[in-house]
Amino acid sequence: MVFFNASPIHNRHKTQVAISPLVAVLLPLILAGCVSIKSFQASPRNVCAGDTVTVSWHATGHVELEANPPLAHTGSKPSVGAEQFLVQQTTRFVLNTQCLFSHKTAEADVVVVANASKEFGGLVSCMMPEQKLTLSVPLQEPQVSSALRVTSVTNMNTRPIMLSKENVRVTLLPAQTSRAFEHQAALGSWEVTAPLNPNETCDDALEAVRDRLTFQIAFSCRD
Amino acid sequence: MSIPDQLKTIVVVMMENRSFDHVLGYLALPQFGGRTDVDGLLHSDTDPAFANEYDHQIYRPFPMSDGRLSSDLPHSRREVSTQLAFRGKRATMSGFVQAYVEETHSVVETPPVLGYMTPASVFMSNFLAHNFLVCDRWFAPLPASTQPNRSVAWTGCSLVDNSVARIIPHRDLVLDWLTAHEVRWRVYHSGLSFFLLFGLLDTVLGDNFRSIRQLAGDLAADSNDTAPQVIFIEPEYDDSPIHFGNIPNDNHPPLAMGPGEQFIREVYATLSRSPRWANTLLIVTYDEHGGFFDHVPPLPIKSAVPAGALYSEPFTTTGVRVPTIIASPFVPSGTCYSGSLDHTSILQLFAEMFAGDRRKYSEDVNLRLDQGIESVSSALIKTQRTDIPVAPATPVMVRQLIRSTKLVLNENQKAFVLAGQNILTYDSGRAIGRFPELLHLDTSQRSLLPPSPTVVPDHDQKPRTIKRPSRKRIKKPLKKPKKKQKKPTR
Repeated sequence: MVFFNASPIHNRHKTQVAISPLVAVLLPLILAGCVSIKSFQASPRNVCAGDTVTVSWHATGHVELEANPPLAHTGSKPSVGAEQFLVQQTTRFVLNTQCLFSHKTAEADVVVVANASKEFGGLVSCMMPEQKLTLSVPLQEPQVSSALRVTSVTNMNTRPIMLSKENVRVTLLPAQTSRAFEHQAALGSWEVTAPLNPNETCDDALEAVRDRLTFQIAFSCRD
Repeated sequence: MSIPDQLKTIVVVMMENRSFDHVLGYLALPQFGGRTDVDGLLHSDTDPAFANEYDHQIYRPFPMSDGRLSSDLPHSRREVSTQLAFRGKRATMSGFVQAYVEETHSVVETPPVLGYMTPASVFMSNFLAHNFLVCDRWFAPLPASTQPNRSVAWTGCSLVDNSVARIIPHRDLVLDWLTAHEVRWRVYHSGLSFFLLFGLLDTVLGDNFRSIRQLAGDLAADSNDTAPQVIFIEPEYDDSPIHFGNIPNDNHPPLAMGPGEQFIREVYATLSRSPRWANTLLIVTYDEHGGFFDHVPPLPIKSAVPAGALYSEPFTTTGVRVPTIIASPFVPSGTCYSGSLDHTSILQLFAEMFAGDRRKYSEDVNLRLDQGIESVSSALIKTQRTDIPVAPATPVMVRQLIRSTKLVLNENQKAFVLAGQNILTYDSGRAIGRFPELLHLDTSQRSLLPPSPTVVPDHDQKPRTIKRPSRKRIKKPLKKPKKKQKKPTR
């Protein structure tokens, strides 16, 4: 936004700039097409201090990569690329791409979550013969670092759930916390199930849980 | 509920692009008073209704400081569909972060779509909420962007389902309805009026459209026989390509809300100081949610596709809840109304008040009424309050702006340019007299327009001669821009 201090009448003459027909035709096309961000990602997003994360991007225009707090080797970059950074603390990567008067920005957070917790989950399915709500939560490298370990898990729902991963299975009452998965890697496929109440239909059960089941993982880091 | 006998003036202020939870959801939080009558953000840190998922990680609403956002938020029809995240017929309201990531490629811990205001950031809305009536079941009429929702607000239905650079095709406007029913009305505009986007020409240049600077003087000067019965007050729209004397204050992201709160304060202070306040009803609402999260699913209100519509898939629900406050001597202090309302509730109110029956606005409005949308009158009380809460001192520093222009980039901005050019072409002298900012409609902005730069709709009331803009005022003759594909805007 441009602020002018002169009188409006003065500005009128000052700002009515003649634009050549060629520029008038090309300007919209240039503005619309010369800058874009097709992808931007930092992986993994939840890490331990000292983990290496990969930042990748695909954009057009003049590309600058920033990190906050600052990291070495950021700055001007090619329009397509991927680089690795070692992070010691929670960091926001920012991709700025610019072309003439237009610019776009995308942001990606990498969070050091040791001694903290995160909530995972999603929209559930209802299995009628089995009379249960089920959800699979595959946690992979984009979400969590392989260095992250589980300290505890907590049921965030208003009904009991069964939480399982690999060969460990635990039943959790609402708001209950368990250390059954302690020292396991957070990576992997988590399965959440919740039995329907007696005489409850799938529709009623889904509505009761607002179509979602979630659980919280408290993290630590591999020694 | 019937209309209170003493109610004489209805004032409507429609702001831009904020959801209920984003602006007023805090009212239910214990740390901000914990109002149990308002369906807001209570237990939003644990209740699954507030959990938004992206890539199996759960994101929840968080308190956000007011300030300029880095960009507008996704809110086209397709993007709203992602946000509502239907499972069968039930909107789960779990896809707001997904839509944000798809649009911006940003995966952050605090996605701005989930940010909510606290009392310090919305001082005037907070004041009004505590002294008047909050409506916590007022929905944008359509799960789409500005042009469709404002079309429903001002005509009862929409012929469009997106916002692009055009003069908006539409049915008869509320202004036509009011005129036909011999209702005195005025529009007070801060900058360019949104009604220009409907192609109004003589109407906008007539005496019923006035600068907001005239509001206080008019309220003092009008007699009972000349005072308008309906007043629309328009903020300075951020999508306007030029601003002249007012900074944008319509609350459209990425704007901060401070200037919009100050605007609402000025409106309330002016009205409540007027001797007409005892007979006035002020409705402050928002056209649509603008991409911000809300946890309440939209109402299952079906809309037929109107004849002449530029879309074929009918809408089956309302849009997202929007913050609406009714300030008046005819509402109880510090209360909440939870009946089902949307923008056509205002049209029902007009029909009740000026035609004697809420069903006498239009069939489009009746279709929504039959599915449960109530009139604003449902929220009113017969007993007239005598207290007049005094508007709080403003904590907002609003910079005085002499003039600003900006690059025209989104489709609704282009629509404003087109509308400005339209009225300049029609009658540049009167147009500049009414909207001095049109002096500064740069030729570079005009070059961004789609084909057919001059659109003169066939519904305007009076026959007229099309004039070219004065060469004295506009040095460059209008260029016919290169034809290009229209793209829906966010």
